[in-house]
Amino acid sequence: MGLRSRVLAASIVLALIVGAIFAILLVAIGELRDSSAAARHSEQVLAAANRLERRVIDLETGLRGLLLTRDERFLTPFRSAQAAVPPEAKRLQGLVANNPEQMARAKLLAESIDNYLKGYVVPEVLHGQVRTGSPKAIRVIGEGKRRIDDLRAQFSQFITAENGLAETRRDSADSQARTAVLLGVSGLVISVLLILAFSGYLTRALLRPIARVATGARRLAGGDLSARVDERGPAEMGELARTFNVMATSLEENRDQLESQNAELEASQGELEHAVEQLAEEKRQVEVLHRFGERLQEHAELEPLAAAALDDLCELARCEVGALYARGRDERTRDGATLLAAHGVRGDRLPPRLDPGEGAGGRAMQERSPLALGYGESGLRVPAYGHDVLVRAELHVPLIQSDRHVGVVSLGRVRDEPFAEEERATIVALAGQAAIALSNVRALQVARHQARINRAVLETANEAFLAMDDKGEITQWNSSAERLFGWRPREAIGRPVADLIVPAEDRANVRTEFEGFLRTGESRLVGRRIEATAVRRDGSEVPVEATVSPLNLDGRWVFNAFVRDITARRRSQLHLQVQNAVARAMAEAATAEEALPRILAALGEGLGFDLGAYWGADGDAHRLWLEADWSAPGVQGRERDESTASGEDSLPTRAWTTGHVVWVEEPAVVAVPVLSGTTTLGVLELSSAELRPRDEQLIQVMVYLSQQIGQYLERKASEREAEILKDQFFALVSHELRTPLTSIIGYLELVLEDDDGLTDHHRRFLGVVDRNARRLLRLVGDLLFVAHVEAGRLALEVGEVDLRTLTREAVEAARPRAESKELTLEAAAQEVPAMAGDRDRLAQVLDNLVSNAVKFTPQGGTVTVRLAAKDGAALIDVRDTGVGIPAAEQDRLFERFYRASTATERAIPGVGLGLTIAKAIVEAHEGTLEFDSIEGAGTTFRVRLPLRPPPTGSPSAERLRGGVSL
Amino acid sequence: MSAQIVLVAEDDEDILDLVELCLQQAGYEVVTARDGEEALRLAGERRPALALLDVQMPKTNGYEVTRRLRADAATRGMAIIILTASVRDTELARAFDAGADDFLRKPFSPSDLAARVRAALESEARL
Repeated sequence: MGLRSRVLAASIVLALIVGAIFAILLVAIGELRDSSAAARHSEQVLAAANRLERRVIDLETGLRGLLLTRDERFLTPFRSAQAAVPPEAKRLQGLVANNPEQMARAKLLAESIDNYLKGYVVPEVLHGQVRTGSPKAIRVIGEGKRRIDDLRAQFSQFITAENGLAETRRDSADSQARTAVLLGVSGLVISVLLILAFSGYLTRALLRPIARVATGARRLAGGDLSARVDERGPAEMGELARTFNVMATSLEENRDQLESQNAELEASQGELEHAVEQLAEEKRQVEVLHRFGERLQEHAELEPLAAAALDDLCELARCEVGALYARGRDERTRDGATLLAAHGVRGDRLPPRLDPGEGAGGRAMQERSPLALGYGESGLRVPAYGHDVLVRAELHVPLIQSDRHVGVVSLGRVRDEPFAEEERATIVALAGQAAIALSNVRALQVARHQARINRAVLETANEAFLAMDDKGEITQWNSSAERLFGWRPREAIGRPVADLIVPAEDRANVRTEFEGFLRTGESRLVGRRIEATAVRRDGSEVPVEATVSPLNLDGRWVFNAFVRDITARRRSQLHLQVQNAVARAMAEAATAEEALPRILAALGEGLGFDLGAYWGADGDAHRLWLEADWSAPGVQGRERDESTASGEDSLPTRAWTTGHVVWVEEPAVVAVPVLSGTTTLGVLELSSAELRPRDEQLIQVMVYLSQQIGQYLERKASEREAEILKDQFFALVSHELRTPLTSIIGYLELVLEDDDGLTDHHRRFLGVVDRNARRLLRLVGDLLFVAHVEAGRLALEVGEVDLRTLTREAVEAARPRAESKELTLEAAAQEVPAMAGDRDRLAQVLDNLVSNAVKFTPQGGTVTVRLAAKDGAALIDVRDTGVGIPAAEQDRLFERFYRASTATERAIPGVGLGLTIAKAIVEAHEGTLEFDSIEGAGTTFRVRLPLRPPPTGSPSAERLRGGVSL
Repeated sequence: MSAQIVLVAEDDEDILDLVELCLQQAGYEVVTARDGEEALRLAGERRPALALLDVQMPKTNGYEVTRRLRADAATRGMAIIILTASVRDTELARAFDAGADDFLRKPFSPSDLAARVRAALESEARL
């Protein structure tokens, strides 16, 4: 239970007890009061009774008086008494109502009084005619006295009783009072005791623990960290005590810790002091070195540096004599050192060079550790005061740099004081610094020398050379760079290379690449040959080739770049490109008309012109006609129609008449005559709005190209002529051969139709004539067909073709022949969808293949023709068991006029065109014609024709070149 | 019904006779011309229903005759068949460009000829 609850409970209990005590006390006091009241009451009663008695007595007295004297005056008290007595009697009764005995007495008394009054007084006294002095009067008076005595006795009884009561009550009251007092006192005592107990409890529960804690705290404060507090105590008090103890314990521990630390600190303080002393010592040394080093830095040349170093060393080391040997500027391979400085002794008295191992200094160098020589070991004498004095103590300290000896410093003392350890250490440190300084200066001098050489080389180099630092700023710029870019070195060095020679639009890119390289070590622009456009000082652009080499020096990048002006190379490349483009145009175009615009485009785009034109010469009319023109994209083309001719004074005309290139610079127009042999076929004209200075190299290229173009045009013209001639020839042959045949065949037909008058012989003869005429006609057709195919023209009449019908017809047409050779001729033709094709031609193919099969199969063999549709194509097989085609000849089978030996040997008729034509027809239908053959066993020809849906509507002649157009 | 008039223009006598014979046998009345000029004249005079024109003719070739016939309102509706020995695509295209309705290759069979003429006349009649 918590402290608060306990206290609360105790308080409540205390309060209750005290309350109870007071309650009892109150009760006792109450009773006391009652008793007192009762006692007082009795007094009252007594008083009342007495009063009543007196009245009665008064009454009686009065009566007596009356009786005696008959003085009416004696009635007054009687009247008043009469009046007052009953009520008082009543009152008396009332007063003793609480005591039945007294009540009874009072009642009796009252009655008696009443009786007295009514029974005696009134009748006897008042109304009884009693004379005064009479015996009656005496009797009445005697009765009255008797009655009064009686009453008085009752009164006395009553009063005595009441007195007794009163006394009792007074006693009671006294005892009540005593009780009350007793109760009060005891109550008080108890309360006090309880309160004391309570406070005792509180004290014990609260105050004592608190006091303990307080004491403990005080002791803690006083420094006694061992103070602990009794942890007894209720709830929070105990908690408090415990906490206090914990705290005290912790404090104690801390204190202990602190004390131990303190001890340690004190211990280390001693060390610190020692260390501080050491540091101070080192600091002094460092300062010495530092000052020494600073002084060394003031010198940039080798000898002065050596001299300064040596002088300082001698001073610091308190030596009178000294010599410093170190690698000189020019020594590269030799290990030795040259005398650079001497102190206190003339240089010529010392050896000019020391090699490792030579002498004390050399030994120090070789062993790379200081060598001290004392009295007797050294041999150097120095002049002093007119005679030479022996150097008594020597110290030779090698100068080491990066673990290599670069020299030695020798110090000597005349006085006899050997070099102490600390002195040696200091001198060694100083020598080390000197070594570094000397090497640095030497290296610097070597580098400078080298740099001068490099610079000279670069200066005289043909190529532009520039160097940049890692900020992209130019650090070197040779005279070739100046020539190329127009900037003097003074103007270029320090400027960012991007701002100087990179065109504005490329700068951002270059910077990004540069930064990328610095970050990643890689870049497209670095470490390889790059072609780019640079910009000169005057703003003109120049194509260049550059090689940028990065070099990482001491963690920083530097960039060396060689830059070449490749304007000439570019131009040559361009010209070559243009030539190639023109050649390509000429090769790819089928006709001169097609080629010319392309040639112009190649020239115009390649050479950067805006407009181009080819003017053809019409020798007869002495005019140039515009045959082709071209304009660059975005440039408005020339107004032209077929009749545009070049004006008489125009540049093209001038080029034509003079036969030379005409070049106008602004606006740029170049007119080049196109010659074939000595004839000028026409003039090429290229123009552009901007200025273009006369370029001899370009002119040469143009002349060369114009020759090529001239030859091409000439060739094309001849080709066209040849074409025309060929066409004319075809037409002629076709017409001239066919016309007579028309008559022959036509009339023959008429004759054969008109049966009458023809004998069988006639009919047979005419049949022969007819057959041969037709054969002749077919031959003419084949020849012309082949010729057309060769010329690349093939006209197909495209209509609807039913292959099945054609197959059957071909087979049937060959049947007579087959039967005459007793061949088995079979056809297996499936239903094949109608396709688009030239019916006559395809029939020709089938006829050819089937008749060949029959022709080439000897007696008794088999010819099978199959037709099927598969995957959107028609497949036709013509298989025979004939003589076959020798393997060696199979490649040539489709050649014009080629006849296999198997055919010629057996004198099988044929011209050798059939297969050529068949293949051409099949391929014109986008199909394939192939065969397999084994000599002596048979041959199978396979035709594959894609099944194109036939065209709707009437058949019409389709123009094509070796292919079906659908 | 009177026989329809067919004009034949051909410079080869034999062929001309042949054609005339065929057509007469087929029941047509035949008017012959030996060159382009004569053909045009006769076309205007006789107003044939169909003209068979050889291509290769002196003075005016078959194409030119075709063009002229087509240009003239009087003869515009005439059926025209071109006779040609050529198989060249360009030639055939020229025939149709000029305005011919059909062409017939030489050599032809007489029955073919009659059939073509009939077909051309029938299609012309339908128009």
